[in-house]
Amino acid sequence: MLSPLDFLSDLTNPLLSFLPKALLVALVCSVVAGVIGSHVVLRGMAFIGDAVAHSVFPGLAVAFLMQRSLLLGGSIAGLTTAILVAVVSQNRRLKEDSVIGILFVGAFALGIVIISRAPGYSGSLQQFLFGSITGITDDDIVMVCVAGALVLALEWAVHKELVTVGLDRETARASDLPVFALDLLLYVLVTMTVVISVQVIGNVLVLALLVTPAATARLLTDRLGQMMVLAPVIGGFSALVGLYLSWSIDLPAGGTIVLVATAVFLACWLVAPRGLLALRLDCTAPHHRHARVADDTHRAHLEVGLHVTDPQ
Amino acid sequence: MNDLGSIKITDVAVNVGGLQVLHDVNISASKGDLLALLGPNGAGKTTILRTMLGLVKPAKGTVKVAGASPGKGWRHIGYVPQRHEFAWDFPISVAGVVMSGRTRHIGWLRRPCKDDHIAVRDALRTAGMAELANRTVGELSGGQRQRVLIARALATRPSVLLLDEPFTGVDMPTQEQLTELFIELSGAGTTLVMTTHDLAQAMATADRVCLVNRTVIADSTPPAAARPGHVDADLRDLWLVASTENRRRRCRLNEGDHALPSRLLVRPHQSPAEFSA
Repeated sequence: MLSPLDFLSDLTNPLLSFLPKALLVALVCSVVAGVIGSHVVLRGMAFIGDAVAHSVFPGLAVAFLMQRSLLLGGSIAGLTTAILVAVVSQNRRLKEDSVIGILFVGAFALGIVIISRAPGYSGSLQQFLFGSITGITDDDIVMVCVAGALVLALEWAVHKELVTVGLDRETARASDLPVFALDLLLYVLVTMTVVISVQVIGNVLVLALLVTPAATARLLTDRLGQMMVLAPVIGGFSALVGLYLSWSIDLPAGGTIVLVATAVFLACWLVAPRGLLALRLDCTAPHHRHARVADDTHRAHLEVGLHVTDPQ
Repeated sequence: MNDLGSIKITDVAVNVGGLQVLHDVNISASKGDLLALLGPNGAGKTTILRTMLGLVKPAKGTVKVAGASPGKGWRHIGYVPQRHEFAWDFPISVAGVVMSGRTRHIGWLRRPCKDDHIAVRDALRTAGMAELANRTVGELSGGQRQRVLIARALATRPSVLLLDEPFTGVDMPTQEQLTELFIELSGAGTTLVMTTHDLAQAMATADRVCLVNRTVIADSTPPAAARPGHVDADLRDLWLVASTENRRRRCRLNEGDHALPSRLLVRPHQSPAEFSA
């Protein structure tokens, strides 16, 4: 196994120039996915995220065959599926999750059929599904950085609107916010995040980049702003450590990055303020938050003139 | 400008999924009114509120709230939904939620300015939540959650405040605090419309009660407004009838079956002949 120092020297080795490129792309994707993933986690739309991730595939396959931009092809396919889900689920007999299940597997199957027509089919399929750190071109890096910056800028532009809709759709609609358009925009952002991440992480595993760091951050904080800083940090850390392990013990990069992120999640789940250990302690000692609630109740009673006597 | 506090609903019918859920609804209110829409579950109270908000399009009739057609008057209308509509597990502070009420008012691509912060502070104070401004919403009790939603609606300084079941699931002290708050707000010139299925609560809080079951059955100015605790016997009779009918799953109250008692303070919307025919 390589030491971290060897890893550093490999990163600067001109013969291994694909390695720093892969690291850069993985880091950019982690940051973008951490921010967008926070919305995905808080809205409970992990399944939709999964659907979008898979449905991007036929677009990638077509773009790959036609030698066109993967980002464009993937975005069109992901967005088409997202709109189809929104439209088909208007039918009251079907629940949304069934519609999502049907459409995204259908789209994914279409992608597999399309890419089977490509020469050298099995190699490119494997690369799409599970990611690959070799073969990232300078153009790819520019594409990932520009698209990533665009996603972050768009999120920043409509951040308060997305939060308002996420809190309470009905009231948001009543206050004249275009809820459907904002939902679609969020799907677009998820789609773009997926597409830029596909190359390193792979289509099947990309959901982990969206959901796992954001869910981990949620365990650690009660404020959205902190969550949107922590999630990219956790994702970036996972990408760095994952790529290092992948390179030094010769493991697939996507899988290793996701496993590191999963390990970080499990560790936080154990030790976080509301994690397993804290809950176990809670059973034996009153948690300070409970005490605060009791204080409020006490104060509320005093406010309305009720006498609250402590049981002594 | 007085128009801003007014509500005028004329001959409105509403269909949801092909079924008529409301017909011949006539409600009017003017600045400072405190109006309760009283009715059993499934009577269409929430649908009336949603129609006022422009979330449901009426099949016929006209709706004017805050002097504007539905969907146009949002700037002057505050809405307090039922508590389960809100994502209480969101990692956000009480003040953050109240600020979210102003999102549309702040406008696209803008950040909250000084006036927005003042509005939020005032709303928190009015709703009695100023001390809990930095608390995470998930940690609040039921009554505190209700007050956060009210503060969020007040943050836009609305002329008309629509509240959906504000008393459901809150304890007695909170109910009393809310009642005081509502009376205070209507005294300051805000028009309030709230739905409730609690007759006593409606009588104790509102200065007008509309009995709703698929339509407005009766609209009264109860003497109870002057004498809290006293319940208008006739309105109670009508209420019991409405509830019973509803339990039998009949779509609408058959007005013909029940002649109105003579000493009724209720002002029927249809001609009296229709009630006693």
